[in-house]
Amino acid sequence: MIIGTGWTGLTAAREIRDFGFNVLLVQGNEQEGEQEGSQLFHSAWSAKEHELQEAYAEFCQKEGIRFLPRARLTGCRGTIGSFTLRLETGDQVWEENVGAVVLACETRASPLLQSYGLEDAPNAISLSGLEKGLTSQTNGEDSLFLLQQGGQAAFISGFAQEGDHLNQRRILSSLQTLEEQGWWTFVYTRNLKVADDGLEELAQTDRQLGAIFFKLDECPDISPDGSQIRHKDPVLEREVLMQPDLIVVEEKLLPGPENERLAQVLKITPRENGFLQEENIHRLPVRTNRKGIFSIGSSREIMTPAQTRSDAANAALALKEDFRELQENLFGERAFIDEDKCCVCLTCYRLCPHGAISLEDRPVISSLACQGCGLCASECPQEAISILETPGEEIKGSLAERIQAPDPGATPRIIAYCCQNSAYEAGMAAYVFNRDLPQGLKIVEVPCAGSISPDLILSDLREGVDGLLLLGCHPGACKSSKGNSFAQYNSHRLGSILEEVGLSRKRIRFRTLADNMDIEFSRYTKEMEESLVQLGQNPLARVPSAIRAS
Amino acid sequence: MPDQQVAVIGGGIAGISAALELSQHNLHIHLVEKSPFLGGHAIHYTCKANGACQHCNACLVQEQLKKLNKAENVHLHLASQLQGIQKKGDTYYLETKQSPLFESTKEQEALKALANTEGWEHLVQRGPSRHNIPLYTLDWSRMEGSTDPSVILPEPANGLDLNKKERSELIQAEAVVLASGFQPFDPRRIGTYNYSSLSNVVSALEMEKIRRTRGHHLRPSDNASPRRIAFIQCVGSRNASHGNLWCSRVCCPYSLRMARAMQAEQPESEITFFYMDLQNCDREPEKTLNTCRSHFRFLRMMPVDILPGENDSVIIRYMSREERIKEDPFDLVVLSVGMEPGADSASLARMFDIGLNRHGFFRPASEGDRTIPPEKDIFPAGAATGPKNIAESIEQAKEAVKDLLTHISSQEKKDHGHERSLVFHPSIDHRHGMDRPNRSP
Repeated sequence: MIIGTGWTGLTAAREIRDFGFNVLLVQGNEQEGEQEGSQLFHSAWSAKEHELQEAYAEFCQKEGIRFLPRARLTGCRGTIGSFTLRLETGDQVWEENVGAVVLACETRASPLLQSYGLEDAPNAISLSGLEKGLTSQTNGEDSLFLLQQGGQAAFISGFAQEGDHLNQRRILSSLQTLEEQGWWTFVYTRNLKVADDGLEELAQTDRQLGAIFFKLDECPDISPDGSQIRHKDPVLEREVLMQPDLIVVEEKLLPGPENERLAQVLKITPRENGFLQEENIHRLPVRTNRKGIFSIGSSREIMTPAQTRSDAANAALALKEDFRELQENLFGERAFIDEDKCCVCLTCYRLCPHGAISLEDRPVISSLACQGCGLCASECPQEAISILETPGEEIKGSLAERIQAPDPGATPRIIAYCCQNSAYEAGMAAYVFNRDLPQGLKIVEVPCAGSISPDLILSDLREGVDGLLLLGCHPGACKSSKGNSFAQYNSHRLGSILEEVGLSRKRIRFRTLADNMDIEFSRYTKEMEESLVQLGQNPLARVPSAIRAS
Repeated sequence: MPDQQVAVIGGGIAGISAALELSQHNLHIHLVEKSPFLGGHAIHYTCKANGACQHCNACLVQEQLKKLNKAENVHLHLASQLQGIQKKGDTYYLETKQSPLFESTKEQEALKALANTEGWEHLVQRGPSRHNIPLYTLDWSRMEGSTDPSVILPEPANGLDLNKKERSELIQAEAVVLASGFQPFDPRRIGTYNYSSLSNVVSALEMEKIRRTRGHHLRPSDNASPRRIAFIQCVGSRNASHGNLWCSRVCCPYSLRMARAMQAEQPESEITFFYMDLQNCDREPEKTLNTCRSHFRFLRMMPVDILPGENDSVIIRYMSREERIKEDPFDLVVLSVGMEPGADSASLARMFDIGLNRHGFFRPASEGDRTIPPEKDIFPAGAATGPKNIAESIEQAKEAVKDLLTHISSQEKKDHGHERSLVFHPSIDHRHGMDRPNRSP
């Protein structure tokens, strides 16, 4: 199912259908209706608009694409391979079964006239207004009336918001059209956002046509009636006064109006600014925290048509990859809940960062959606969840079996529990590159630093290990979103416990690493070794094992 | 073995990603890389976390390379130079010449030992990642005259055969992914910056290597920790006089991230940016750029020249609003060099008889101004198509693969009247929780 029927949705439908998937195209938003597709920004996207109309015509006839206009997604059950989605149209409610969901919602442009105090100015229009005027020569709107007059036009951008390359492209293209129609154009901006293909050249062309760029750190002084713009020019070193016939004001591109609701229905984590993808390198380019739910194009950030096409192609490939894995049943079962121990407290259900645990009469882990991070197992108060198999290459078997005592002899004895995505890689690199490592260090690969339960660490200390390192990913780079926060919290909590029983809290430490930080891995483990040498042997190591066990 | 063969030219992040993706589609892949190690420029980049992840994506390069090592049907042609190309019918024949590699465990151990033997270490090159296979190689450029049979390697390495010869290969491919990458702008071309003579004026790529090999930043002249650091943006980008009329897109993000990481390591650092326009650095640009504005000094101007100062310091001379010409001393100057078309782009274009755009980049099929006719079966990927960061290179390489697969599938449809089995219908009726054996671990 693809949600969104604008440029993003249609591009996705075409790319995904190419791979032989059946596509269910859902409009997603009742209010916007069929207009969504025509919300494209004219001057920037005009070349694509023609293509879009063709695409629409093509889709109406295409096999393998079913179009559901005005349907709202209001519910979602299941996991990758078998989602059951509830859809509503007016008073009609029904369910559809799909294998995966692709979010392809458009952004909406919000005028910023008010931010510049220009809401009452007769000569001020928003960028969309200008674009409409420049392309639709037939309607008798105010913007068109203004445009026919000619004169001096001022563009304002980058003061009420940081700005972006898509807005910049729209401004630079409109500028070109106005210059060609004989206007004098001036641009007031803080930073030209030219970080996209061809924009620097476009700005050059505009300059050659006669456009003047004022780059200012502060917003110029604009009179509310739009008749005057005044600023102290840093290059000319004097005050410059402009009396524009037309003021064009930038727009803010906001995430689609349905984003928040869709994120809730689909249980995916949006970004703070409302776009539908976490800021997390493991989700790039088109994945979300849930397997089988993808976010592409303007759903996930402000995007040009070319970037959107790239996203759509990537979604098609990712879908194919996932379904091949499904078919070959490569996922296997990774976590298992012992029903006799489970007290249905729903900790795991609330905790799972991948939405892999669903509720039937009790929590059930979907082996397809589970990514084996082990957060649920470490946090389960009943110890009812076991991680059966981790995707690590070297080590198989249950987590408990993997933990052996460090190499006998060398002291201090240190165990470093290392996330397979980051610290384990760094540790192995440190080993291969002959970096200085403590003699008594044992590196244990774990699916996520958050998968290590406090009990396990306490039992290591009881066994006589001198110190423990929990090494995970940097905040914001955890594949399981919050596994590293759990690890940090656990190590902090354990530190307090250690102090209470008379051991130093320095015996446990949480650090973050990336996979290419072998030097830092060596530094952190050596630091740990030094501080353990100062602390001396773990007092529990001197207790005879028979007593320890009791 | 799969029937169709595809060649990927270039083993940087785009080439690795393309090969990895292709390997999942029942094709046989030849990955051709001129250096002995995969990873290109990107594998040398350091993590820029300043306590929290800054989304530089440098760690993804290691991850992709690790995955590639496990992929099936990928044949690596390392240290291989493309000599010529012929096309017969629908098939390309790529002639390559491969410098000798030492791949056996015994040879690798000998090289490792040589690398740790004083006086000989310079002869050995080590891969930048532990996932480089082989990890060690002889630096043949330093072996001039050493192939003389009278040269005797020290004990641990005396089993190495120094008379190994270059090997010619003929690679067959039905389609080609061109991922030949970019080259960084050479700062020597801006004479007034005195890059060649001032050791504490470094390019951002050199700073990456310093951080990578030393674990933190320092200035080259005396390995001291620099306090006053200047970044100069747009070195070789957006510059009409060098013919580079494009924004390299990656430099604002990488320098701002590097500056933030440096300040996290050395909170007393004073960092100045000389710039024209600040580009967005991540997906929350407002937040990030405002944080940077409160931590660093930003001067919207390009320095006039860079001169030697006292005690290895460097003086940047620039036009100031207040004092006309101003001179500020710095301990270290980092030049944010831009991305230019790859060194091999022009010769590859000639060999394959395809075009470049006016800036010297290949244009992919999905773009309006494509430079490669569709019947050529050539799909450009990554920074060879224009400046791109790591994440964009990975994504665009996969897009090129998607185009390639669609192309192959339509070719076969044309040739045989049926579509190749790209079509796939999920037929899984998976109801989680049902039919689950009640087993205990």
